[in-house]
Amino acid sequence: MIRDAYSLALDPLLPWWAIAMLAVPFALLVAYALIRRARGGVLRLLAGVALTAILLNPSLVQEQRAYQKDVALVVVDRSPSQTLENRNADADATVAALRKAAENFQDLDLRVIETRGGTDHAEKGTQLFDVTRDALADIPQQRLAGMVVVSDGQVHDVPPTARELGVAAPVHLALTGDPAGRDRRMLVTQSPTFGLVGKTVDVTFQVDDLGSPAQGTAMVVIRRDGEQVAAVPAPIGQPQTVPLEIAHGGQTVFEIEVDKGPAELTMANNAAVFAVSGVRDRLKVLLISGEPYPGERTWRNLLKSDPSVELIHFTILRPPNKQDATPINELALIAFPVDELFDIKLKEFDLIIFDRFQHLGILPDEYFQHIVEYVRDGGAVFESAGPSSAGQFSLYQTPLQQIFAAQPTGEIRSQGFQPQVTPVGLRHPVTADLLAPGVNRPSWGRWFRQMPATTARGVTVMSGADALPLLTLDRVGKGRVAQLFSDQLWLWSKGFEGGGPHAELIRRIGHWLMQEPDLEEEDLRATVIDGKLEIRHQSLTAQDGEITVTKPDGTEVKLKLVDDGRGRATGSIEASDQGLYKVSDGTRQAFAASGALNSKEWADPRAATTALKALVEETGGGIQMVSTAGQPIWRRMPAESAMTGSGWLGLKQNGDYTVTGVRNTPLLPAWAALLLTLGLVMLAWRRESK
Amino acid sequence: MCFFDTADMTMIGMGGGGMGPGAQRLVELTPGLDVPRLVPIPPDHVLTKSFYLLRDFPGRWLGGSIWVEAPRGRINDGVSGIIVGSNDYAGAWATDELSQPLFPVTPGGERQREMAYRFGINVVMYALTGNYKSDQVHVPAILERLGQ
Repeated sequence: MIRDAYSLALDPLLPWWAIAMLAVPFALLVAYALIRRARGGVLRLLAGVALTAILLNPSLVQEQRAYQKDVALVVVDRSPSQTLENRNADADATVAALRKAAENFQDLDLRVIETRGGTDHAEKGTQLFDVTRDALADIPQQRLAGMVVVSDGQVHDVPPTARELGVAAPVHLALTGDPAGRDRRMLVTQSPTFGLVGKTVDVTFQVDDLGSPAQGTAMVVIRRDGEQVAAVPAPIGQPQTVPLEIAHGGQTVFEIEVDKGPAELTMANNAAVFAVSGVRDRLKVLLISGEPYPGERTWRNLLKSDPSVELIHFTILRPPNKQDATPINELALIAFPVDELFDIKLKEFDLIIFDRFQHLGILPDEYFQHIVEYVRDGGAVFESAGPSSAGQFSLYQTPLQQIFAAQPTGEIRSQGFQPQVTPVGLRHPVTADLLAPGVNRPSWGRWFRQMPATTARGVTVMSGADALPLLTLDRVGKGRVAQLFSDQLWLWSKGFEGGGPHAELIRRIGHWLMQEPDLEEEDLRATVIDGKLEIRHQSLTAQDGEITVTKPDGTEVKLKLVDDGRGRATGSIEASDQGLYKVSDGTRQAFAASGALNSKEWADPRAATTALKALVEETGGGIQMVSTAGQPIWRRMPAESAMTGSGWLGLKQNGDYTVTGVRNTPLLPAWAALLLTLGLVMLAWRRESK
Repeated sequence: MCFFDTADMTMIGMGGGGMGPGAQRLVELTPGLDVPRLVPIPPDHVLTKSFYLLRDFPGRWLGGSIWVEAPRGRINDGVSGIIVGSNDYAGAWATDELSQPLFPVTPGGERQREMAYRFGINVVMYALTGNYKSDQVHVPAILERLGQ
């Protein structure tokens, strides 16, 4: 639209001071003449004024103006909370009504932006103002007629002031949703990330009936790794603390869910999912060395340098069958506290290691029977066989033979051999990583003694001379047993022929025996890392299996895992949804928690003006509840007038223009000035002369 | 573990100060070895209790001091890899074909020879079991704590 505007401009011919120097004495003279009522005073005055006017050189300026259309910015919230009630439909209706109104305003452009409100709703809630700032940057300030936010008001990045946002026009809120809505939510206020295995962790949560008075109780169900462990009534509106037991090491995923409330906007905030890492208390290891020998210190150094192990070590320094006359007070020997170790405290140990042990009447059979029961009940025994294991005082001649998967034949082979990882050992977590990926032939040093054995059960993960079993692992009841049929592991620690991975091997055997979850030979794991669900399937048998992933919203996805040949098959998928992911291979299940504990987006899903009210009021905007009170009337209002009233919202008329041309017309052309001044002077002269 | 017996105790005087010819020879023999800092054996060292209880460490001679590595935390469980003595232990242990001692021991006689054998056994036990015996003092406390 182009309109013209006129204005008067002065373009003095002399500097202002020069004009003043001429005009002031003249004005004084004329004033004197007027006071004295001298003839021709008025005419002289007019002549003086005319002269001064000439010097000031007035002109008429004609501006050609191109008026700019104002812009109204419409920000439509499409965040997840807008899916509740009829919010999205109401938002659509508001935008449609605005578009229609804008058609009637010829000087108004609408700029409509829709936003999902950021990517991480669980963590950050709805983020409307990032995109708003981008859009505002494209609109000149002086053309902004107003901003209309179409939202349920659950916005989590509202700027503190309009100035900070850089807006000098009304900000209106078209509120979708019913402000009187009610919802029940679960809020976990405190949850630990670590817990000791076998102990409990305290979790504090609160159930709120938003929009309703806090009264009555709700039923809360707690699930651990998908299985219900508790159902407790929780008073509404009050924090409640429950102890939850950590049953195993590694990740435990808990789910706390409250039943449906009297009124619900969404069920998305009725459950919270979180993971607790189970950590073991220091592992108590009992090492019984049957006799001093060069390997003993290798065991000691390994176990004592492991910070997660508390070692209790006994060495049979002098067996009962070797007595001499040395007085006891000159010997640094103590009695082996068998009652204490194998009766009273036995269950406290996580692992018992027999290293070249021979029973020379040291332990009665009854105690060996205790150890058998201890293993079946979840304990662990590691037998490192020496020459004595082949003889009549072997542990295999005691009740312990019930729990051993392999039995020595009684032979002793004293020949060099290179320990090998068996094919199944290459898939077993204990031995799979002893050899670098793709390497199947070891380069480590030889050992020189082996006790041949026959295996009845278990998994033989390493073999020695003539492919005889060297390391056999077995599960007995709830417990585990490992047998090593050589006592020359220490050669690796001394670097003989380059040595070998003795520390890694012993650490892994030990932790597998103590049921470290990372070393399970059959396992399914799922974790969410950087928005990706990583799945790891561990198995002794090669697998090209397909697994099923159940997303938090209940949809199922099939995923094919890739086997790496060392017992692990892995795969990953995007995990952008917040909540509990379930992974199943048909027999095993794994759980992973994704996203924030309490989703900010769903923390309060009710439509509310609270967050935006200050900004709206500061800018003189208005609020219209479009879902309950209908669409507002849109008006164009001159700047400085009110921008809202009963049922209407105003968009500011800025009247901004650009100047496309200027024409300058002098008001006193030279000839007219000459005539006027001369005429007046002559008239005054004539008048005086009368 | 290395046990050096400089056997020069008599040549450096009863005080054990200074360096005898054996010790000087040892220094000459080990220029390329990264020998850690050695300290005089503390009175409660494991060598005093690794099998026999010992108060001193006699060989053919009595009174020469024993040097061990200063313990270095968890490395090797704090076990000394080097023991240096000067009491001529091999001389006290040496026998002929009839198992008769080759050299007299001074000043203590056969009791001192018995002690020299016991020291030898303690050294072997120390080499095989390390600091096992110094753990033992903690065992009652650990057992007490279990199950609480």
